[in-house]
Amino acid sequence: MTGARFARARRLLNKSVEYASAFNGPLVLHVYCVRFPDDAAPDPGLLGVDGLPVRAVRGEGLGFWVSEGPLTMGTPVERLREHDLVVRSALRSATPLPVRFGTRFRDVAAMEAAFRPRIPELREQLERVRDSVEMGVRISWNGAEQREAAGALVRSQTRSSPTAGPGRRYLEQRRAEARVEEVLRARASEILEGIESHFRQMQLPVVRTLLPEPNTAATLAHLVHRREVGSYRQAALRARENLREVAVSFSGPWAPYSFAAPADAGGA
Amino acid sequence: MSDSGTSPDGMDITAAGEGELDLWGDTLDPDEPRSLADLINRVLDRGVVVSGDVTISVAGVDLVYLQLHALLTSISTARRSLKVPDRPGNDRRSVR
Repeated sequence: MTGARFARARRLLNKSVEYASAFNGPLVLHVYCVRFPDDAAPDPGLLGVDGLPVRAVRGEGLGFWVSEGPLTMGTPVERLREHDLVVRSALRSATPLPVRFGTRFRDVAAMEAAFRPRIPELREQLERVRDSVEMGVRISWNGAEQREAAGALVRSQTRSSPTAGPGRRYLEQRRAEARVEEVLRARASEILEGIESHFRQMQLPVVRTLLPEPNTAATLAHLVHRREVGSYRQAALRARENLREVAVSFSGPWAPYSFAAPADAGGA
Repeated sequence: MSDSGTSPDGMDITAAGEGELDLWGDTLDPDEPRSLADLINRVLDRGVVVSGDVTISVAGVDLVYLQLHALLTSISTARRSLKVPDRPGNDRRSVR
């Protein structure tokens, strides 16, 4: 489907949702996070996405923070912030498992049916992240400069045949492009290793991402016990010293988005 | 008792003692691209993933069946999935 057709289809869908809302007022359940059933309920008056009130739902072995309101499409940044603010509110009393933005159900029964097969897994994850928070590390660099430097290195190491035909030259070009990516990943990995060395003693579960964006060498997510956040901060300040060609920023505490699923649990 | 401080780029990394965690700031600076990128990376790309279904009806007649499989994703993740190379200078503040 072309971009223009997709945009038109989306406008038609949004219009049909508006009409449906006018006749039937379909409400959907927006889910923010998963908790243990006995964890604290939201503060009275807590508002979530689109200003809708947040409430707790206790299911079989799990609790959920949800809000109910008309189905809305689109993902303006403001809705993402509203979602995260609810998750952070939950984090104050007990570490939740954040649910990815956009997870909606037609009612509580549908939500419970969807989560029921995963109750043991999610309870295990809740135990894993209990009393912990996520701290983020972002290593930024000038992506264009790094790519240029990597390209120059690859060119200096490449010997192309003067008699090569167009096919061979094309393959050599593709190989050079792949080699540039390898050089970039190796450089990002080396820098990441240097930053990580400051946290190694804490033996934290970690999720690493290399080259997630053009101007980001790597990101880290650490799972840190609440009582160790002070120590983490000290290690973070040391990690920022004597850095060249990169800038390191830290964020958090976050709810453990990166450790919400077993596949993302990572390890030290 | 808390250990508080401000990082050189203005982010407050504050840790409370035992008890309630003192979170940094209640609002994110919308002009801080790194904060926004961190938010998008987490809220759109991570967290528990469960599919949800919604049927929209008018007068009892099902009109639209939407299978909401959390298709919302960050731009860079979508590009990786589609094997589309990132373009330098992409502005991640536009999320649709």
